[in-house]
Amino acid sequence: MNWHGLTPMAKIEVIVDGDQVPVVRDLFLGAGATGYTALGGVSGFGHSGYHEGRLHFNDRAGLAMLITVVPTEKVESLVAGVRRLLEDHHGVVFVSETQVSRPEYFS
Amino acid sequence: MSILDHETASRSVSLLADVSRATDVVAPLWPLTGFVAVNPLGGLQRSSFDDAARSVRRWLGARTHLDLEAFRADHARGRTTDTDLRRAILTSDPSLGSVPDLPVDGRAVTALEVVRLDLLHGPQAPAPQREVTAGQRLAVPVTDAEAAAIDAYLGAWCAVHVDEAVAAWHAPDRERGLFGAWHALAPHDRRLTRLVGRRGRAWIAGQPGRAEPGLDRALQTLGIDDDRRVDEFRAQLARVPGWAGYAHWYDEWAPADHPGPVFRSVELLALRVTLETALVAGRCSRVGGASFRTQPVADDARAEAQTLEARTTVVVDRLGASDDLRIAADVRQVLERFPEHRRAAAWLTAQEDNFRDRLLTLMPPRVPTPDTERPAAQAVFCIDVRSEGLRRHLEALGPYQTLGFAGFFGVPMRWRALGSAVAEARAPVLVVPRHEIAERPQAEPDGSSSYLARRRATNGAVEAFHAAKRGVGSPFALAEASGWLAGPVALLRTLGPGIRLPGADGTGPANRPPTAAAVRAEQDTRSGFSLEERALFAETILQTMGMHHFAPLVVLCGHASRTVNNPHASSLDCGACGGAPGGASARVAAAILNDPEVRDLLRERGLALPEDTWFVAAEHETVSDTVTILDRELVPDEHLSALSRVEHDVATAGRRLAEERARRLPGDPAKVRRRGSDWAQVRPEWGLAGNAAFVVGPRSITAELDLASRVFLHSYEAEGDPDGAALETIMTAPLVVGQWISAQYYFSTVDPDTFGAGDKTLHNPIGGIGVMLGESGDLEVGLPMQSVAVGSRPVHEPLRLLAVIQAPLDRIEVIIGRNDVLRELIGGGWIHVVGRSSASERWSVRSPGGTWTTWWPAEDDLVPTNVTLEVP
Repeated sequence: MNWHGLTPMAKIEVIVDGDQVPVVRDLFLGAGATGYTALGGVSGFGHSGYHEGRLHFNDRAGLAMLITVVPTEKVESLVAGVRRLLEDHHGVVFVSETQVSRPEYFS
Repeated sequence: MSILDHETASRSVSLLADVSRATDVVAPLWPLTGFVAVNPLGGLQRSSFDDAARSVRRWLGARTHLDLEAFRADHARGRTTDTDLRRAILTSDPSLGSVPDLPVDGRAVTALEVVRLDLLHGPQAPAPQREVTAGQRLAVPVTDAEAAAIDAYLGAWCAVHVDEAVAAWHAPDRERGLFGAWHALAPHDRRLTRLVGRRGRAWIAGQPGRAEPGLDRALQTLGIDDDRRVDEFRAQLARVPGWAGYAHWYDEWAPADHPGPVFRSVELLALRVTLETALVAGRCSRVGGASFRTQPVADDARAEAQTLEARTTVVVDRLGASDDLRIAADVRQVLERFPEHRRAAAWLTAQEDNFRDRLLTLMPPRVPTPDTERPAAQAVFCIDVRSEGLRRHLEALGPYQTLGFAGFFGVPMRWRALGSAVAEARAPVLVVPRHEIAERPQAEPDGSSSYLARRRATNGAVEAFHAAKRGVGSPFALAEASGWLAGPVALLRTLGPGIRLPGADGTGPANRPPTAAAVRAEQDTRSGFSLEERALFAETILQTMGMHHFAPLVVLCGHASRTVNNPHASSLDCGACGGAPGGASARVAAAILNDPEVRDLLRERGLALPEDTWFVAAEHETVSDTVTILDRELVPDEHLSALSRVEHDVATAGRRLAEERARRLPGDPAKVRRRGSDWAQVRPEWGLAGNAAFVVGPRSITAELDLASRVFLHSYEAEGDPDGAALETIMTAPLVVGQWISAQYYFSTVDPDTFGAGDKTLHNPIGGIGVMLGESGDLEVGLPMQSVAVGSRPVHEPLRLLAVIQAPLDRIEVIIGRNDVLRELIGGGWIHVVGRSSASERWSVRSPGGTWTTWWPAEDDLVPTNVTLEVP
């Protein structure tokens, strides 16, 4: 469904170890993303068990979530890169449709 | 975007991902200005210690354990016993105990005995061979000499490119990155023709000038498909692990505002693979594909098979057995169970168990006695192993209580010293400081204006002097102009090491105006913490240590090491402060804890500090074991007499510790405290050499023990931490940093050629970021050999870190279970853990799989009075 005046885009969310944030960031930017959002201290439970949230004095040990929005034609290359990275690291990637009001910010 | 563009982008992103995967074989290398001890195998931490060790043997050709000769020499010195060895063999291969005894000329010999004899007398397999690059596997391969020439050429370009603050002229086009800058200048570089020939140079000219497409094209030319890319990158990075380590740091750790030039791993790889491809392209018209050999050169299995025969012969001989082939076959069958890596692992386990037995023997179960008297003063030191001796000697001198906490005192910040244009991080590298704290004059008007003016003038003069040194022709004039002064100063420093030359510019410590840390948030600046933040820091400091009783005077003592002519100086500073002096952190923490508003808020939260308690900052200079009180002007009059007593006693404690250290350092014991100012001294102090264990618990369990400066001590009171929050903080941060330090010393000792920085006397500082041996080549990683050994004799005992935690075992288990970093480090055998719920219980040993077993020493006759932790 297209909301009036909004532009369809793809949203990619990647959850990885905190120390992989710079790598994923570079993959995003390398694939042509114009920006991203990073959330540190992500907690939860999943395939590899429990993951504690934010730690007092270790910004790199917990999980982090990186979010970017790109035109749909950029999704394939970006996801291909992230999937290669995840061959050696645990993490997950979600791709979903989204809509934005300022497409020029994202392409 | 066209289909072609999409494909290019897609290849480029996948390439970047593979580059990142490959960098795990080299540890990030921090610039020397903030040397950080890291686990050289940290990128492989997802694997177990044994698997990671196997990887670096394969990719780096590294040694990951002492060689058998060294283990045997240690055994002869008593560092391990036969019982340790037997137990370690069974730990390495538990099923060995069920192997039937071997019939040997009418006797029965156990498989255990066969392995023991082999460990004690069998020959060692040849050192591992590292994997080679694709070019070296060609039918007409790149020779070792050619590969070395590529490395030297690459190193020279890297050195030119990375300069951060030294050269007066920067290399052009640095904004294009290493590969782009090189590609733009390569047509003018005659050395390139000598390296790759005219055809090779012409091939380079036709390649893309950006790293990703350039690397992709070179890989395609060599015929390396995508599935083999990561392995090829690892082999390439392993040729230059120093530069690769620096690039790894740049990729993943450099701060966003890092002022240095772009130096990504993909750039480094693009340059090296392009050079190698060009060399091959320069001498044949077609490369790649079928011309590759299929077998890797590294073949440890073949070398081991040959050694097995020799090992069998030695063991048969040691058994005094006849030439019966059946006996040899039986022995060989047992020894096959113990390939080279398992032999080394068994020896390592024996050494680690021996150390653990000695340490735990010193900490037997006992009924804790509650503290009833208020101490005259408390002193909180960094967990650094160098604090242990000072704490021990100070406690012996009076009614003092000491505690251990990470030396940044729980306050991550960027510190802007008075008159400094730069705010430096003061926090473990695991934490990104978000706040800046400025050092400000205590009162206005005062001498600060004239001080700052003098300082600016001095800085200008120093800058002009260095600029003249770095110029092309100006050094000649500089020598003429300043030689009359520099010559005598150099002579004085050489003949009289230890003489502190007086500063004539009025900017020395004596001329500094009284200052204070501006900890309160200020409007319109980014400096300072809000009240809520300050209160949170205060609460965290006190609760993490379990500090609920307070003396009238509490000294927060950071540490620093001031040495001259020492590129690795920051490696001796406080690791918890990111390789910087710890005094500023102590000042900030003291200011927060003395803040009346903070105390009001803490009281509302049930954490009341006595009104007569004052926190004072200090700094322990570890190279001289002197302690300096900081911000003395802020100390209320009623605390001054107590402060004087503490100062007197801590001075005595420092003197005693220096005498103790003098016994471990080579050279004149009388000069031990002046080694830092001797510019010819390659061992100003031992730093953290000898570190082996990390104790988390109340001081009462280690008080009065001589731990020989080998143990990190973190205060912790399990009773006051029912939800385990404090223990989780300790285990996920200070313990992790302790493991990095432990691993850095471990690997710098077992393979100084691969993981160490070589001989200090040959160090050539490069670009303000690292050192090389001589004028070209790779950056050196790790610790200089003078930091871990005297000649060929290691002074550091390479053991994996032993965490000794006094807390309920189920609490420890829950914390390990919910933190990946601990699951990896502890489950993978990087850290050993022992624990007990209270002081009255026996210790239990945790297996990597999570099983706790009550600890009993291997030797029955171990008692506290005959145990020492000194390295034999």
